[in-house]
Amino acid sequence: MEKNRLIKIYTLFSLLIFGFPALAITSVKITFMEALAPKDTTSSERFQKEYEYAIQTAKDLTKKKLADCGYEISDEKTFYDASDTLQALEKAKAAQSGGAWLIVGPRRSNHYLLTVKGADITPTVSVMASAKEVYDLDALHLTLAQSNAAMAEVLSSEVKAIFKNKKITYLSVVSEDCVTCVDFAESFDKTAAKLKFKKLSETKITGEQPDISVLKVFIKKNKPDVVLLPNYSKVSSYLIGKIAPWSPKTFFVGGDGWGDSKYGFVHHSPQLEGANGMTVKGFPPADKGLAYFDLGKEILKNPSAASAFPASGSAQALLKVIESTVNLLCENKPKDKTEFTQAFRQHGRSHFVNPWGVSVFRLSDGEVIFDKTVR
Amino acid sequence: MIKAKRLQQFVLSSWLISGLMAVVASLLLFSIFGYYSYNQSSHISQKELNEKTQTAARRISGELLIGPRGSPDAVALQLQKEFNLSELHFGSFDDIQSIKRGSDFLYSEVKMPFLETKYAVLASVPKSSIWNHFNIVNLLICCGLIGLIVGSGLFFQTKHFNKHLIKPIESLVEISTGDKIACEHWPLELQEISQKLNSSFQQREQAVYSQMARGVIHDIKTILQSLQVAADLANESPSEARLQNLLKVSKTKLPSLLSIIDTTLDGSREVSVSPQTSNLIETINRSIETSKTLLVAQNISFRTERLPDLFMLAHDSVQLERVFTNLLKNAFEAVDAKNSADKSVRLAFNLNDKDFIGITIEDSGIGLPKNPDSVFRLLKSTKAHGSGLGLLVSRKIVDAHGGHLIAAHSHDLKGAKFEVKIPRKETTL
Repeated sequence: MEKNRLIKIYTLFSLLIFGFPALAITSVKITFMEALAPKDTTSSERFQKEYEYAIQTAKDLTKKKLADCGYEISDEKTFYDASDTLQALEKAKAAQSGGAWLIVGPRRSNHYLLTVKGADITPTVSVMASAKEVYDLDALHLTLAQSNAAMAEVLSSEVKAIFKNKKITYLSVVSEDCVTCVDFAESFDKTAAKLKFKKLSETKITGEQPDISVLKVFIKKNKPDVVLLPNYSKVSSYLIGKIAPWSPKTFFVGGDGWGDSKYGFVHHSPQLEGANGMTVKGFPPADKGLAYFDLGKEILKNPSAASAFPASGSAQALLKVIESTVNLLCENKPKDKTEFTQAFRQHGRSHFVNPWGVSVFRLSDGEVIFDKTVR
Repeated sequence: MIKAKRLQQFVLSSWLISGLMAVVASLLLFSIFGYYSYNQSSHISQKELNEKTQTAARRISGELLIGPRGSPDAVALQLQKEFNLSELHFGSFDDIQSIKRGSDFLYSEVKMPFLETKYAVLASVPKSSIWNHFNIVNLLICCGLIGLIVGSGLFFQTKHFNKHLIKPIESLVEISTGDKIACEHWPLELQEISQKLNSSFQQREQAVYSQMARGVIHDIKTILQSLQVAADLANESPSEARLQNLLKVSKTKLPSLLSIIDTTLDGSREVSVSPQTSNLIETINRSIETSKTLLVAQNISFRTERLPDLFMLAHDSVQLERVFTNLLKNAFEAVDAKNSADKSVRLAFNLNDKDFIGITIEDSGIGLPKNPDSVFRLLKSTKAHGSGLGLLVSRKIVDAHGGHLIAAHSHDLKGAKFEVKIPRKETTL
């Protein structure tokens, strides 16, 4: 009896002494990197605020769960000039040497690829990078973006549905310095070929206001049914404004870069009145996209929090990244960066997955309107 | 008139020198300004080019690091256009080194970040021409600036030159007339000078009056005393001899008295002469006779040299007699005043000069001041009681004849030497 009592006391003492470290909170350093366009100050500032708001919201919502698992997130936010791509590499190097467990990399594919070069032994996740090289990276570097192939397939099917049995002719105007844009154009060409679309030409451009006067005669003569503009919103908006008067019936289609009703330059652009088209994205609008994953659902439970949450795909993606990180931590309980990296390599692909499918948006009289989601 | 011309020349020279200095200063400023501007412009261009090349190197490096998917050529073309560069090349070090570089361009070569061991970027822009900085507009600006500074200076100088220098000097001249000049607005230095001049002229006026009065009165008094003595003697015992003496004294002294009065009057007016051809030797002899009657000391050796009997010359015999008499009288008095053993007076006739005949009177008396010519100045008497008018009037008479009266030191007799030079007109020997 006395012996059992002693054993109980010893066990309790041992638990107190040796169990204490298990209850200690481990700080997980996550570096959030994003490129901002300094020329567009207002848009950049708004984006930055919403980006920071999304991170803080995710941290607040996961704080208790993380603490229960013995972790807390220590975040470091790094913004840099989008025109200086090399900073992605430099800042990633700095983050890696600064002890970051995870780098949430920039949205743009070329920036993200440079980030990976700078942080080759640190797990990285991009919320939007969708160039094919991104999918070819090893298991340490993942993206939440929908693949260009999947989006191009949905886009070409939708275009086919609109034009029904008509033999569709199209031309592409592609930003040469945008890796994901070039990829999307290639993917679209493949799926369009399967659907018997006829490609008239492809023009490579650089810069935000390229000179396309050489296309004027060609477009007026050939009157293509579709013009593919798989570029970022500012360039796409500029090109639609130029081409629409030359061929008013042309249907403009885009990749993942046109933005939506809140972001980007295509929506509500005065020069696009009368222009029609379609684009696909890896994210639905925020009010719909939150319902696709747990942390989003958590926000939707509180109407005021849901209405305050930024209506952007990248904000939703940040929530999803942090949710996935928390789950990875709690499931694998890594003690340090090395163990986290190992866990990420083994289980990252099952956690950091796009939950949204492909969303289809319509461009109608200069307004980008959500249509549907195709899983 | 001459003074005004000189002043004008002085002002013109000042302007000329100022103008030349302004031109030199303008050119200097133009050179400094142009060089500085060119240097700064080149420096800024090179700095800007370096910054642009640095940015281009980063952007192109980023594209190269992405690998086959990067578009460094497109980015390079875009940057070349955006940065307004003449050339923008990237490649291996060997490729970059092999690119020919023109002297009319600025170049910047930068190693690509993260590819330092492999690649570099070379960019160029046209050099700023040096003539853009040494142009006519800059020259005009420099000249205008310096011209404005110098012109303003000269304008104010001229304005104040008249007000504060010319007018005060003219007024200072007026001081000599005894007028009181209001000079409280003059520069302090000129006010001091005017006060000194005022005081000096007043003293001089007083001195002139005193010395003239003293000299003339002394001469008149001496003559009147001689007449008084002769008259007293005749009055005491009116003998034939004494009456003859009174008559003789009166005859010799009264012309002297008249001469003193004439000299005093001539000192203050222009002397006029009426030359008539007559025997100059007679005129001289009359003077010698007159002087001998005035001679006080009896032991003076007087001699004449090379004196002809006849020398016809156009001259005013009365006026020239006054001159010779005055010179001889002064010589006798000077010799007497010295009171030395050697008491000599010599009159020499000189015909060596083809234009003038010369009559020299030398003595072994007390001599002349260091500057002999000063004895011709008003009140500069060689005697203790002289009025200072005698020599002044003598010179006026000789000048009126077109001749010269020259004072000098006598080397032979160690006293004074006066030479009267009369032009040889209508001379007859």
